Amino acid sequence: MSTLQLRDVSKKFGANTAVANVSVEVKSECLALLGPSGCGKTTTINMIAGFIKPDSGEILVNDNDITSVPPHRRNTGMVFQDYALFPHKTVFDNVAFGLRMRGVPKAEREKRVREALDLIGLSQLGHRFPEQISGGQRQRVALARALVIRPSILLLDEPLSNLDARLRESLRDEIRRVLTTTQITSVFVTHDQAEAFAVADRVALMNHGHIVQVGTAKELYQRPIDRFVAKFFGDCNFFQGRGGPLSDGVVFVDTNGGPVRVPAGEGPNSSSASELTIAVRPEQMFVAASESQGADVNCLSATVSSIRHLGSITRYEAALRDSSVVKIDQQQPSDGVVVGQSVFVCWAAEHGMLLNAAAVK
Amino acid sequence: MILRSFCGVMLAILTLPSFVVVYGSFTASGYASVAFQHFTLHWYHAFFSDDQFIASTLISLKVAFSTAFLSGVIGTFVAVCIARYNFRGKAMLEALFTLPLMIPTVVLALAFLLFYTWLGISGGVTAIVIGHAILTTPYVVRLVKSSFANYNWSLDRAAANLGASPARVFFHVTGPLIAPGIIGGMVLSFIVSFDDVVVALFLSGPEVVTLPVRIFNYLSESPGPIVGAAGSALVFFSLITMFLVEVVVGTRAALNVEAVK
Amino acid sequence: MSPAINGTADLSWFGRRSNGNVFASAFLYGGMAVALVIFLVFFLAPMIYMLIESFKPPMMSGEADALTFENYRSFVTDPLYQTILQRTLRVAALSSSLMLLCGYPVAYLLRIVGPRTRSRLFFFVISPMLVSVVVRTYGWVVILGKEGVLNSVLLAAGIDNGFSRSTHLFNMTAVVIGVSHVFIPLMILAIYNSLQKVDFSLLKAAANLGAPPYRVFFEVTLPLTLPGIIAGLTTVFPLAMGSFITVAVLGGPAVWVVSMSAYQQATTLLNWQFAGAIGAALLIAVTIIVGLFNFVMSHIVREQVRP
Repeated sequence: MSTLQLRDVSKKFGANTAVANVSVEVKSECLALLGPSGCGKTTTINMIAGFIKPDSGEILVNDNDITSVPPHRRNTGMVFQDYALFPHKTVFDNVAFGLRMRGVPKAEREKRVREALDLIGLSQLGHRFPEQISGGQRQRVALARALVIRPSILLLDEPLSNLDARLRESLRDEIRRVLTTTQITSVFVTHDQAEAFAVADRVALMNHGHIVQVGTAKELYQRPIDRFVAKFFGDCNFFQGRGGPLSDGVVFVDTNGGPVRVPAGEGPNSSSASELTIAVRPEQMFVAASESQGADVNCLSATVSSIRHLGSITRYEAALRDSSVVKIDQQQPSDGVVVGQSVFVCWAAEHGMLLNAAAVK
Repeated sequence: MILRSFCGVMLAILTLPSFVVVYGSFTASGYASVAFQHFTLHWYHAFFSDDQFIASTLISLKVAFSTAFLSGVIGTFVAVCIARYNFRGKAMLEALFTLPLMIPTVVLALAFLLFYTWLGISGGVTAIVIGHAILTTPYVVRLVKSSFANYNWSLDRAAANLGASPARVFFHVTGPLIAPGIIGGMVLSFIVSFDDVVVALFLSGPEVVTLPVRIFNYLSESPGPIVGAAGSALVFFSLITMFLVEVVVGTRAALNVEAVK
Repeated sequence: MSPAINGTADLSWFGRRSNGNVFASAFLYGGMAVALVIFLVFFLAPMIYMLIESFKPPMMSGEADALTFENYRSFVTDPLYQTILQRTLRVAALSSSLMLLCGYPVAYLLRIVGPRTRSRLFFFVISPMLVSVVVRTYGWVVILGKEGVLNSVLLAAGIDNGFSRSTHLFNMTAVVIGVSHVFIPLMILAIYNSLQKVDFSLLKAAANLGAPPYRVFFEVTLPLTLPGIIAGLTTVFPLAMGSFITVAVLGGPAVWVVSMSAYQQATTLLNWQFAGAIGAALLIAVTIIVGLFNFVMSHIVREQVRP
């Protein structure tokens, strides 16, 4: 139920800008910081925790400016990628550590630790040492340790990256369960989009220190703001061209392959006569012999350059008249289509995504 | 193989002198020889009744404990700061704390004598403790620094995140985890200080004579069998210390001795 | 990952610039500052003081307190001290060679045995170092003395002549043996360290190509362990040069080295200024030699092809 706010936070390491003007607000939800390595997500979470001091900007928790507060005075529980369990303390003492630091009396401490261990299902292992338990169990202890102190903000720094795939999935669901049960405000850093989508309510996609787009999984996937976001979640075909007239929420764009129609987005990118980019996912496209496929279907003429059968899908690559290559993934192969053939690559206009052309990074 | 026999001989020679001293201390003549001699504690009796030797032993113990403590503390602070922080002049600081190892002990002892006398503190236990501390701190720094080699820094961050101030992080997390290195360093300091002759010799005063120095003086002036008992006492002390380390901290400290070399 | 994550590069967390709880970071830095002060006052200052004193005329001479090279001049030009210096170098050179010859095989054996034997061997190699120099040296007195172990063994074996009835102390041989014995563990460890890095399959390859064992050693093993040998020499040579107790006890007045002059000048003759010059000279000599060794080492390393 706490609110976390980052206002225009920036950090440079020497000549390298790690985080640039990041602003975001998180309230009673889980926000994932997603992005490729070096995008600034780890630096950002470390700034929230207080291990790195921002060069400029503010960090606020419940409207209190904590930017200059040292890490041990912020109430931000953190789960580390390598768990960081104290090897010289038992599981019980690990979980109790934060309570000891806060001066919680022994009786209550023991009660809360037992509750936390029960919550994660490890009540039998309190007396064991970290090296005696498995990776998945260690991660759960780390989670319990961070939660037992009832932090205002919960921070998770790639907590699942050190686990094998199967364990990752089950722990992922468990983390999600805990987050929704406790309703805690949390920030979750990961480079894995599936993880981000599974655990978080909203996802902030970062690149080169900036937050490129924030939104739900659906928003990011279906309404990417630029090429980077579109490509991050899967293969994409891009078509660029000049915008034409707008009518009935649909814009005509004169692209390199021919004229297409695309649903207009909200905001400035739907203005006409500007350079626009349309993204279409290969699985939304299909190869057809003729041009007329229906009123709201875009078709562009192209020559098939390759056909590959990849198990459940057939992948076609075709060259448009300007030689740019388009990828099409079909569940069922089209009859009689061979390499070198002149075809039409088509998609339903509603599947086209209009990007903010000015924001190409 | 010839190699093994040669090495066998070498290692026998390595241990021979100490062995000879200890063996001889139990014989009637006080000297080891091939001829059979009766086992006797006569010389030990003489040693323990000799006021000067007892006084020297006590002084040696006092100095060694103080040195171990002093160098343990300052060496640890230096090593922790070096391992954890980057600051201007860090390389020079590291060099400063390694330098005593590279200077011949005689030169160090001489410099100590000149300066400490000028300061007015020479001739007392304090001067020797300080001199020994300079001598042994580099060992502590090296040992403690090496125990940071595999240190997981996330642990410090986790502790701070859970509410531990930097001092508490040190006492609850960092300290316990580098304790073997610290203890190893202090034990090494103890041994080096207890065994040291040169610095203690230069800095000795009329009443402040450590056991090794007393033995050296005897050797130079009036060699006698009682020296054997005194020397054996030194050997026993060293072996007991190492045995205690083995039991308390394990061979880890011993292995770190390799890193020191 | 940025170095700041490791807590080493970015001072913003523990550093003096972080607000709040300045006391805590002062805890670690404060301790270090105390250590620094102790070392500056009780280590650096004495060295500088000794250096300055060495440039002053001897107190007994009654001359004015001006800076002069007189001490150094007389040290370098006086034939007595030239002899002493040469003798010191000889002791160091002979001991170092002996240590190398006797220590290399031990290091080699350490390399080829199994882990358990190795730790037992290590114990035997390192444990003498736990015993004080005086005791070890006294042990040699007992062994090499007129009624010592060596003679009693010879006599028991029936060898009754002038050799077995006289003392073997107070000569260069005794000193070299004693000094070598004191420092050989260091040489062994240095060579062992570089032997450890040698890939023994190289030796098998050489043998496979037809090289007999002694050639394998000289063409492969020895060159590859040269850095270790030089490291060992760099360690023990200066130590041997500065050796005082062992030489004094085993050599007595017959084998007089630089360190004994320094002691005599400082404590008996109370000529601090000259003693300081001797100390400084010894330090310079050691530095030059170490520098020479390092120079040789870098040359060899450059010429060797790194695996």
